[in-house]
Amino acid sequence: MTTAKKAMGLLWGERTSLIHKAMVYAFSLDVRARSNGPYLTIERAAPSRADDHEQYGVRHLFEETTVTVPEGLRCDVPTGYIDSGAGKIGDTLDPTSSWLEMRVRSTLEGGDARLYFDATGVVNFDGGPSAFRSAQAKTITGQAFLTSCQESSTATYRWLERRQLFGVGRVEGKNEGRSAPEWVLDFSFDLYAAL
Amino acid sequence: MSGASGARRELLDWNLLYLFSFDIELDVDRQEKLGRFPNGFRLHLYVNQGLSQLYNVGREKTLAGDGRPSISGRIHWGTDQVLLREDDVAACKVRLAVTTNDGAIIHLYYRLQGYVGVGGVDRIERGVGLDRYGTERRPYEFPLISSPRFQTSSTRYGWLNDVQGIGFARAQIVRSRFRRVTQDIYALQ
Repeated sequence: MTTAKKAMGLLWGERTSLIHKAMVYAFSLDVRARSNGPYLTIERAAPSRADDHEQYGVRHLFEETTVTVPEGLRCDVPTGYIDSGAGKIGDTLDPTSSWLEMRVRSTLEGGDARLYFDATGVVNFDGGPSAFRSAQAKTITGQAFLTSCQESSTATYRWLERRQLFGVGRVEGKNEGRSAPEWVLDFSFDLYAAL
Repeated sequence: MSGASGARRELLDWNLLYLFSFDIELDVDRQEKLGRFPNGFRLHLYVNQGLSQLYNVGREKTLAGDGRPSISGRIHWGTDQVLLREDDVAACKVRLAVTTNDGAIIHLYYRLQGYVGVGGVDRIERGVGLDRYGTERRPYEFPLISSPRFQTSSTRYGWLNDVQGIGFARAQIVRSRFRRVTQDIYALQ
């Protein structure tokens, strides 16, 4: 008899009901990225430019300052602007893959704290992966989903380091290249905490 | 583009599509405690192949609301590289290889990050006396959230390559050793 069977007579398996699940909206992340082949450079959204500050950054859509996560804890919601970042669409081994990687650095309101997002996910362009590689296409749209691990330089947002967030997103792009595609992509994500 | 139309004021629509559930029995005789590293305590876990399986909880032949064939099979290989950080957060990298009942191979990869409680890392690392997590009669059970992505060359399941999954899981610890995990996997869409 194996140790696993000694520990419990019955296996857990063959459940007939689903595990309880909960997802709570935490905040949103909107970024603008420029593509160079499969690689993305996240643009800085300067706080001095009011239109940039409104459209890109870290913010709660309904301007709440706290959010109650599924465990029942009330946590502070970060607000800030986008400093920089990088990313990649596809995979070195499979360039047609829809995998998305994104690392974003944001500076939080007040200017003395940083919040880093390290995200992986998928992006599904309308028209398939070839639409993103086409030099002829002028605009592009799609859906993006990601999971993000965060790091913060302030204790206020330590709760973000203890969990992954799930992002539900859309992407819209405009091709500014002539002979090769050079996309300016606007990513919008709503980030959810799950339990 | 949203840049031209101003800041958003509404949440984006989304949905969860149930894909499958799986149960993993971890091989307790093969758990490797690698010791203290600069960024925390490292631990490697392995799947007990004969006791880990994948199934549809409703025993449906197709995915509800989607019509594609449901997914069931067994997990023939799996490993979890755990880093127990000094701030009592466990950061895991999990890889699983699944063989479905119709012979396709699907690879799952996900990161997992979760708080193990005050003193949790020490309790898992040492696991003696009162510090032990769970007993055979009363395993310590806790929730986990996973974020699988899939890779397969099967044409039947190729659509999974474009999916970001989310897993709602329960894990059990017995005598401070990870023993088993059960999960429901959904596709974000």
